[in-house]
Amino acid sequence: MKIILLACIACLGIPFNAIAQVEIVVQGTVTDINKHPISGVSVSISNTPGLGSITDIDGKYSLKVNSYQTLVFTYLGYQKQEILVKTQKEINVELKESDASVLNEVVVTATGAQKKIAITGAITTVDVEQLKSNPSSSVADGLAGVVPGIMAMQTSGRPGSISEFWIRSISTFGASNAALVLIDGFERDLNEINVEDIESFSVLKDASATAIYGSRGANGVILITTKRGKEGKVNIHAKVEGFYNTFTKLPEFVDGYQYASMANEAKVARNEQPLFSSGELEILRLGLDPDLFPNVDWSDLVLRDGAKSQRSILNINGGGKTARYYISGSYQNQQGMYNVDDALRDYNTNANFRKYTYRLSVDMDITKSTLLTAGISGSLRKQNDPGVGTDAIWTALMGYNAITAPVVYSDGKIPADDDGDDDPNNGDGRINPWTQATMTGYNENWSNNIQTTLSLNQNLNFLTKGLRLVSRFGYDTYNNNYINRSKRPELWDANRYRDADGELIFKRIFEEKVMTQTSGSDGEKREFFEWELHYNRSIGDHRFGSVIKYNQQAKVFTQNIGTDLKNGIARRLQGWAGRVNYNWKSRYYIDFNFGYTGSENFHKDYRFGFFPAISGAWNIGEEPFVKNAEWINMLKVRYSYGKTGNDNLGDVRFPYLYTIEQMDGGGYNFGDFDASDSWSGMRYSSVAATNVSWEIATKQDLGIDYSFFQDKLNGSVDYFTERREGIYMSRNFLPGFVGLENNTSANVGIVEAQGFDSHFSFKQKIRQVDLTFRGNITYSKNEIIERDEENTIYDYKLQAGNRVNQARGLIDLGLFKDYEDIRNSPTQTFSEVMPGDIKYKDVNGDGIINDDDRVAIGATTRPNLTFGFGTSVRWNGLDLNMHFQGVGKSTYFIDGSSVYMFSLGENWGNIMSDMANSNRWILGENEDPNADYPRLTYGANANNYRKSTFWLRDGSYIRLKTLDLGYSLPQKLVNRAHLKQVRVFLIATNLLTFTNFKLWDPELGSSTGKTYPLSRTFSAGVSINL
Amino acid sequence: MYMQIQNKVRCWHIHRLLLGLIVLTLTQCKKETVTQEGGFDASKPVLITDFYPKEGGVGNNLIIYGENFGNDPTKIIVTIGGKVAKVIGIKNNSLYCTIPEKAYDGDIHIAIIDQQNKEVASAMSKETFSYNRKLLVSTFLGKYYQVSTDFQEKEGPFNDCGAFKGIMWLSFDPKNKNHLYFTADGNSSRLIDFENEYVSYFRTGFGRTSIISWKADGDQDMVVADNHASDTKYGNYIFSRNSNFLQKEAIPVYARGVQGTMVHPNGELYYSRYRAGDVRRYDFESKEDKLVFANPYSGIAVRMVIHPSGDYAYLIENEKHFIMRTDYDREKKTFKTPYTICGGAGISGYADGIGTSARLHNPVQGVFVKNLEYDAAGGDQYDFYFCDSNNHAIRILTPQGRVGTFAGRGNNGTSGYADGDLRTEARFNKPQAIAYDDERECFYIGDTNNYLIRKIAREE
Repeated sequence: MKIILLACIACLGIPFNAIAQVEIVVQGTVTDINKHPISGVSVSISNTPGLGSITDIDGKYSLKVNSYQTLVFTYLGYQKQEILVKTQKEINVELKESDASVLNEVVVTATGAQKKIAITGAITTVDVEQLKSNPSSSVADGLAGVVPGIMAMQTSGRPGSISEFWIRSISTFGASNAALVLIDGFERDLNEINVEDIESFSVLKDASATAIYGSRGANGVILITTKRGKEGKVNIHAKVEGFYNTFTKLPEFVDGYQYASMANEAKVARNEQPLFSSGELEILRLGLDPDLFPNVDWSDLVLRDGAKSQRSILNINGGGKTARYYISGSYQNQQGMYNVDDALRDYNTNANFRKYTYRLSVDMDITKSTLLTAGISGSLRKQNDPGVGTDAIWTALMGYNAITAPVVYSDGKIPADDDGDDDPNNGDGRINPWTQATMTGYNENWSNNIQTTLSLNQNLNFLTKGLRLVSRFGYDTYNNNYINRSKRPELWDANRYRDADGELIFKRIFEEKVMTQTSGSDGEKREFFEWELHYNRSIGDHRFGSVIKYNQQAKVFTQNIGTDLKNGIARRLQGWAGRVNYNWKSRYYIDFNFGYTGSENFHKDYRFGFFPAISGAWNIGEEPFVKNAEWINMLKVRYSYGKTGNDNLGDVRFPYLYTIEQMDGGGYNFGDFDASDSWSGMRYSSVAATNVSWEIATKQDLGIDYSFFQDKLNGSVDYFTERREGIYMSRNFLPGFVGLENNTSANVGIVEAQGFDSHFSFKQKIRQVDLTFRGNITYSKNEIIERDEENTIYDYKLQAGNRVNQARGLIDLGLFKDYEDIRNSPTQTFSEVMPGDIKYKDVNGDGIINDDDRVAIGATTRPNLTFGFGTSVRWNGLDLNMHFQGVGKSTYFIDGSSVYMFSLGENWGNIMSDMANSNRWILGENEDPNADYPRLTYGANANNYRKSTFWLRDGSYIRLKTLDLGYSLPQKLVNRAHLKQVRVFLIATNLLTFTNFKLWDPELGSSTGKTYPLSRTFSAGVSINL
Repeated sequence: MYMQIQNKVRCWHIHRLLLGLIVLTLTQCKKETVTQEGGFDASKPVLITDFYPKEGGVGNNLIIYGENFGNDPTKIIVTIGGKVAKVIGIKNNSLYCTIPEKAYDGDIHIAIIDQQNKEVASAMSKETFSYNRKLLVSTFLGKYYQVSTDFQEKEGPFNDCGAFKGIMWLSFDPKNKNHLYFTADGNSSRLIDFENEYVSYFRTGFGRTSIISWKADGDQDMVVADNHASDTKYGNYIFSRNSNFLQKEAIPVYARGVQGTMVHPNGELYYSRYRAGDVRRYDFESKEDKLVFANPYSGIAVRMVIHPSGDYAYLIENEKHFIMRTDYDREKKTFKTPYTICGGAGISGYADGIGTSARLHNPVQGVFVKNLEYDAAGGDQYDFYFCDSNNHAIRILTPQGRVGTFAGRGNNGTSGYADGDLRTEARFNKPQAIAYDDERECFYIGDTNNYLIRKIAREE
């Protein structure tokens, strides 16, 4: 890949022909305004390819130039200077520092770049540098705790998996709560983009900024623009990183002896015979029978201590006055976590992940007023998996306890636990994880995506000053393919007892299945077209701007669409949007914008939604009475009010259409006696919901942006409210007399949300040391106002009044102390109870504990509070960044066979060491009514194993998300090697986690812990600019 | 010229970049070494320090503790009571073997042998193992197929007679205790000949052969039930002894779904009908056929076993998981209306206990066995052993109505195939048929889903 790219670059250089002109050698010194020489300034010849030159430690340079060419001097943090060479042999240059004040910071909004000072909506601009230290292949993984207003959760550590994130608050229980991601103006996948290619990253949080997307802005919008070529000498940036990934927390399980002892305890505690005789326990303890009493640490066997991965990035940009280019490529290789590579010869079953991305863009000035931009980007992802799939292996890893079965029997037979099911296809879960990872074949998945963009920017100053037309066209294809090659060896189960001669007795469970394959694919294409007319004028102190925009887009599935005609019809959107803004003396801003968008998923009478928004800002910092206050650089209050929409109904297509089907069976016979002429009737199998339309969010946002003390302290605070109406949901509780055959759906739900987000950063220089502290926080709370639910005499059973996805269950009162306690407590109806079983609170006071006593408990699995804070220290070439991230207001139930000890009975389910060795209730030993875990049961226990506060855990945590240590090599050394900048760095992620929840990584949000854990990553790399 | 220089410079950078990439992407491999357990050390003595458990019987596990056992199970010989014990696991300081048969003396020796199988060291335990003779489950007939599709059905000598599908009912010839018959529903019925140690087909010519019983008088001819689903076909046939059970003659009464028959010592035949849900009486002399009583449920199989005295019979209500008793009216020469003796009608489960508090799961055949312990007390001398098919156990019902578990469900389990101690090891898989051999003092169990005939006998 890299070689191809380099070859491309080389080709670009070939057409160059030097025109015979007088060649002179120009020398000189570059200094700052204080006459101090600057080293590392790049000196290039305008509109000429080549690397140019770099000033040395004394600020000196020399370069061969033809006369009447222009020399360009650029250096980060200084203003660019261009000087025309005539005949002079010495050109000394004085560079001025660029004006980096917040007042000039640029924010990318829906209708183009705006100065930050002029923004009236709630927009967060993300420092892209902060996203770069994230070791994952996905940009989304780096968002949590970095971007105020974004809540993110990484729910799996599997290579290639991606985080889920949402903006501010989940304020719907509808089909989609995902933010809209626009890359270079078009709706594209966030994970398609390589973080090094991002020029700007903005998050639009309120209605003022998102209304223009009308249709799809209700859940917030992320705007990304990619890097473009810059005029000047060729810039090459390369970065190579190597990673070492370990698990943050892998559940640990008890060994065979402890498992068996506890199984006996579970049996005896319920007055049953123990499962293992004392002799068998002794054999197990001594490890004398690895066939019938094995003791296998499956995690240790199947998983590596750590996996390696690499990432390399190369990008090149440059160009001249009339055309500029930007080219980049990246390669990432993540090694799977399974420790199986040595066991395999012909193919790789490991969960490896490879990703290649490339991006190419060219900007051409066709005429003086016309800019044409063409871009193409794409990715190729390849993922391998063992034949049964990664999920099955994790299920087996968590389900196979140390004594379920050996890895292989001593005579070479491959074991599988007989689950009593005669269907071999259902028995896969009972094959041991080692066999699953090595002997079940392999799956190959790959996806290749291509995005193309063409845009034309025409300046219409010749019509009237300040008028500009931008039109854009995009075409994307996405393709996913897989080939699953599955096989299975002959599988055996040994009898629990040996025969009279001490030999094993086997039963063959499944015969061998030779390798077979299946394959499939799916894909989609997207088309976009839009144009915008911009008009900006200022007359005196009055500044005025307006935009009108037309857009349309279509998405259609191209493969594997089945026979239903609806699946092949494009999902189209069409809309108009506009914006008018006005400000006076940069003090008072007012901004109105609207979207008028239609989705053809709705009936034509309900198709278009109108989404207006109005916002204003008062820039106090520009007022004469504070302008003199030196310490205020910027102070701005802004407010917005507006509506946005959401048309995502999940998979529902055309809800306004009904379905008619023939009656099942029966029919009326019109035939004569003994003749058949039977006709069956027709029925509505689903009723049309003609009035279905947009889900509408009404958002308000009040915010303050500030920057004080010569920009040392800056930040913002936002308070927001939102009311989401018309949430599309199934009407499950319509009375029978309505006469419907199926449940219809409608826009009935209402959710209100409110919260705040804030961020700050503080920069201070103490002698040679640059210090930065920064922090951000996002909090939100939502409440269901209305949803379709069953009427009940107990209002606490309603979801209305609670959060979306609120946890509910019984309230536990500890464990039963003794039989006296049981007799004196309300009757628990789930199953018979004994001392040491969970005692519940009788919420409705009817003397019976049943499902009517379930109430809202805790919060939601997804956190309602996210925060991050960090610090950067910079001294000479050294830099250190630390970033902590945390969440709060998150609770979830733990359940499943790994938590409910022995709930699945014989041979399946594992016991976590943390639980086995905790303060658990043990008959005769530790009959503590406040123990962490109840009396053991072998098999199901309907009383203990149900959702209650007993099993509710606090998912809040703080973790040292990244620790990034870098060293930029001294300029003297670097320049000698004709390089501009070289930085070596070490990054550690997820290094420390502080949490009350100890069983597995709390960020996973998993109730069972049976998921690929998150990675703790150590990486080392080098980044080179030349 | 100028261009060339620039290109060279660039290439140089690129090489450096590539070199960096290559170096960084190189990965290292880690080799792990496995530590070996210490082997036998000839310079040190071999010692037995202890063993566990101290008592037991054949097939039980024995752990011997000591020193310097080595780690190769083929290079150590363990003898218990003079019998060689199979060593399964060895760890230098401990070993695990099984107790061999007839290790009565219980003295434990171990010997270490070298490559030429010469003894190089030995040790003896101070204590002796206390060997108990006990009732054991063993596999009597049939081959256990590890691969179920290898199953073969055939006639043959005891050591090569294939396996048996669908075993339903076992019955000894009352005049020849060397002949044991079994029916197997839709599969082939068999004759097990103890004299010739041979298993042969017993052909009834029926689609589904359900029950074999024997006439009480005369030649004691065989009565075989044909379990068919027709209201216009005969249900019971007599196979005459003088034709060597080759010729059959129908009892001229239509009977559908006969799944239980018995002959009272007085001579009458009683049979149950599946669909009709009743029990009928047939008199061989008068040829009279009449209803005795209606069963509480229809559409279930009712197997019937008569008490040797003829005082009562048990009705085993298979699909309803309970057993009823019907007493004999010696005056009217017929059975009275039955009543529940154990199990819960329609409630399956597994529980030992008295009468209706006990739980059964699809009980099938049972057999009365005299219990000498009851001699002193007088009264009913017989225990009733029956196959509790879906509980995979042989249950026992005492004259007082207490239900216990006699054999199976080894180690608190359920189904399976394991020989050995009745309750701690043995497992069956849906046993349905049982017969008691008074002469050999043992039970034969038709272990239906293992396709085997199992045997329960006291160790000799």
